[in-house]
Amino acid sequence: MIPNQPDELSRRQLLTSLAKSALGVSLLPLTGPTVAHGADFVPNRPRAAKSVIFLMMSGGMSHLDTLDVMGKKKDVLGKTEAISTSATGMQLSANLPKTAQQMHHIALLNGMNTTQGAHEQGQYLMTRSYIMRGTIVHPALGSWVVRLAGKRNSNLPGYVAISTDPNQAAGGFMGAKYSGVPIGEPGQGLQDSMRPNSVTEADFEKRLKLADSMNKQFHTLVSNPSIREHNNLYSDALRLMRCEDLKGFDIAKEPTEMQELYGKSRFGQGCLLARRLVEHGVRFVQVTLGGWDTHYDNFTAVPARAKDLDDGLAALLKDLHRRGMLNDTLVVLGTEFGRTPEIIGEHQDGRDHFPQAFSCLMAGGGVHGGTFYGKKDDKGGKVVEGLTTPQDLNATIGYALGLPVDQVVISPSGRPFTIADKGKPITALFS
Amino acid sequence: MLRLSLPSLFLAAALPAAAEINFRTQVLPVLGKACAECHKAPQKDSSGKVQNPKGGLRMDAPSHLLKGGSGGAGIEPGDPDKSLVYQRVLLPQEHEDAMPPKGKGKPLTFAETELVKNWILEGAKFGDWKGSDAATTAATAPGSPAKRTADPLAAGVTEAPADVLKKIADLGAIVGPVSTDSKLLRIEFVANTSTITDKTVDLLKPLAGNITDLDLSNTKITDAAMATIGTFTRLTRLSIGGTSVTDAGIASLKGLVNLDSLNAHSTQVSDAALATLQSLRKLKQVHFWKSRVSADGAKSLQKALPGSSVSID
Repeated sequence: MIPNQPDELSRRQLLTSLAKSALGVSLLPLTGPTVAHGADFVPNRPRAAKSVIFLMMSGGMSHLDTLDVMGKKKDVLGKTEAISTSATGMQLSANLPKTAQQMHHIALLNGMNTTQGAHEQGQYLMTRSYIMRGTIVHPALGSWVVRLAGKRNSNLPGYVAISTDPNQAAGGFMGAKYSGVPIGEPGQGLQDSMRPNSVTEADFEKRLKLADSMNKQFHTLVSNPSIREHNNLYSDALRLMRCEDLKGFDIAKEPTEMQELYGKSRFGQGCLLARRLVEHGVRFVQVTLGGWDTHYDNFTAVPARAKDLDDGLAALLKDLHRRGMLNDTLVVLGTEFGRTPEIIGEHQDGRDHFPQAFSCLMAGGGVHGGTFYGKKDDKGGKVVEGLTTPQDLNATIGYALGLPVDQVVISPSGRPFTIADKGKPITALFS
Repeated sequence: MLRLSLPSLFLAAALPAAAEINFRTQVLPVLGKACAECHKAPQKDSSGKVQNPKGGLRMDAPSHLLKGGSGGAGIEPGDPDKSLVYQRVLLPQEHEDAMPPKGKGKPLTFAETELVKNWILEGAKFGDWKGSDAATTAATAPGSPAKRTADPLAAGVTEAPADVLKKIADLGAIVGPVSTDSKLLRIEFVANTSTITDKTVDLLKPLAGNITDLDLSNTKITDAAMATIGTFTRLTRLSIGGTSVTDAGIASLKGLVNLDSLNAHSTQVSDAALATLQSLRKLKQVHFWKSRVSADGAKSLQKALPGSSVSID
């Protein structure tokens, strides 16, 4: 059992918020009923990426202690040191030694800038492209991707959210069928997805028929879309339960050395599960790592978090490359904002929220590695080149997948929305 | 209060008797006359300069009207107070935001502004009017076909037979053009891979001239399927990772001169296959992790193929 960080999702929170977002529909059927198979989707550029693994650093990752150390002044770096990487002329923080060895696959986005300085609002903008409002829930990025590109494997969900608050993976106005299927503990896979041994297939069939005959009258008397949707959920769940692709959720099937490569942390195992799911055709996987809200004692807290990130991210890139999957899989690291260049002594050398300038990264999926886009000043406090908004980041993800990023989807309230609002893709990252 | 509200109740009761406002025949002519000239899709003027819609607002399709421009939503169904299009035509002519601006057209009459208001109140229904929405999405997407030059590989490709495509899609495969402007096909067997065998690959024979991207990773194919694949002359990408393919299977690929990417991780392929691969001059990316290819073998292949990356890890 791995203890939770204060801003990390506990099992209890996962269950509570899941109960709210799923409205009485159990976990398994959330696996994406009646979502179109991607067979009809044609990317608008050749060799577009096929899947996305989005690593969300929840809490606001300090850019100066992780991704953006190049040419920064000593007084803003504090105890953090820069190391060289596998890409000539590029540096990373010494907190990410393994990732540094994968730098030739990575493009740093050092010009990130957001308008939101609070966690919930910042995460919302980063993962949904719109400002949080009281009147509507905008679909999560994964919901958009599945809506526009369909599923790659019709047996499996299109969107899986690992160690992620189900609210953050909610399909919003697109409905529950586009929500990310939540996985709390990567090692436990998809819960309650197998037929118990004590029930034979024949018995199971009999029970289903019985339930069906009891439901029939009700369904003829009361016919409405949400009841029909419920029915579809069940048929999808049954298909998943009986298909071989379910093993994509089971990281116990991975050899021990593979589990060790990714690190034994929950995040590392989540990255391993993400790779396995993408290999089985899941379109979008989010893995969340919390604990980045380092107001206090930044220089103890960041290295601890960075270790899990480093193990997981470096292993993921290495493993995807070895399997020849990296060109087809876009790996994105996002966070809601950065942290102050100023080190706050009275908070045991902490750093506060800093939306003005932060860093994210992209790797694989056709992205040129060993490069950076955007630049901050030497204090890491101001973007001086290549300003990139969360919407631009999401437009770039859409571009990588060959999606029509300006395709409008009208909400039930009659308003038009797009995957990245007014964001512009950074096409310079691609060949 | 009571005395005032009674007559207005009668009035309210009398109004809904009127038929619902038709956008195309009633509202569109008003907006067309007063607004369309400045609020249309970006166009080049006579000097070749691109003219963008004023204020970022386009009024040539429902989606653009709803989305609005730099000031906010153009039309908010049911709420005239939040619909900028209605708000701006209400402003007095002297106001700097008044629409249409002075000298650009006649202000709307009271009857016309009431029509727009009531149409918004009724939910701003566009009926069958789609405007430019029907055509926009594909054409304006970044990397759209118009921006790219034709792919020489696609020359002479015939349309793939639809019945064959359907048969393969029914097996759970992703089958379709590699991109919106191409007749070349990508085929990925991702679902139910244990049921995908040499027989499945036989089904692809009618598509031999169309397939350019083929993913058979983790399927049950053998060297027999590789003989069929060897006839897919437009193949540029092939993934056979995690299959039981051997050197004999790779030998069947010697005619695939367009191949630029081969993924053969976790196979029985060894250094004996490298001679064949060395003759495929367009090969740029080869993956041999967990195969029997040696480090030296990988290095020599990479050297023999300029600009390539051959990896065993």
